[in-house]
Amino acid sequence: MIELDTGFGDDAAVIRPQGRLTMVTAPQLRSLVLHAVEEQRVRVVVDLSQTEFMDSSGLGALIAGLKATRQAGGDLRIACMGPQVATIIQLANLDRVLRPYDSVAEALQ
Amino acid sequence: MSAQVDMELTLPADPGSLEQVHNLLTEFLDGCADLGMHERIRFETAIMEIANNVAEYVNTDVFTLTLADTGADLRALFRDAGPPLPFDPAQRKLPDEMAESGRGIALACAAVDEVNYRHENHQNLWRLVLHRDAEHTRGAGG
Repeated sequence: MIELDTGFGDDAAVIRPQGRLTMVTAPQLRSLVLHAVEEQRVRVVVDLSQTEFMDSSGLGALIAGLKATRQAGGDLRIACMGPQVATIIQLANLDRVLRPYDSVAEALQ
Repeated sequence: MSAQVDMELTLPADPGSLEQVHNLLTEFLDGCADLGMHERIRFETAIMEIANNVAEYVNTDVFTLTLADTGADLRALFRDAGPPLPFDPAQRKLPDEMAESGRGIALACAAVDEVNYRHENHQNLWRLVLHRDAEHTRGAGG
């Protein structure tokens, strides 16, 4: 399940993937980010506090979202990641591109 | 030294099987005594990347996953009766950082100590090995 929260201002959206973010669920994350951008919510934070596992499809969805938000003049940031997500981001050498924030509030600043 | 744990599962070779693979893997890892968090994460990550590849690309009905804890190593074997892969997995490198796909096998190779693919006796065979208590030999932090 992936929750979309638009209660952070007109140009922001917080997306919360829950459980496993995998080949099966990553397309939904990708769609939600694109939907947010279409609604001019170009500052997107993906809150990973409830994401217990992410695979390379999840990484691909984050990169797709990063590109879509930046093309619209915004950004995609990740917050509250757990140890498995931190590991896969490090193994993929994406820690510079997907810089983690400790909280959603920090990521929204 | 941990006792050896073995699990085996045969499932349809399609993405609908991935949740079952992950559930079996979680059960297996829960049963591995004295397994460090980073070892667990690395093995789980690698197994699911290869499972994704098998489920998505193998052109056959079913595949079998066998998991074992020898005490010294965590081992996994994927078997299926599909044709050989149309690419050389050993040559898979991480793509450009802004790529949206193509990372799976390279990530599996980075996560564990051995990832070996062969096609022999009309079977695709993926063997993965993680040496236990060998985290100091890999990069820090992972």
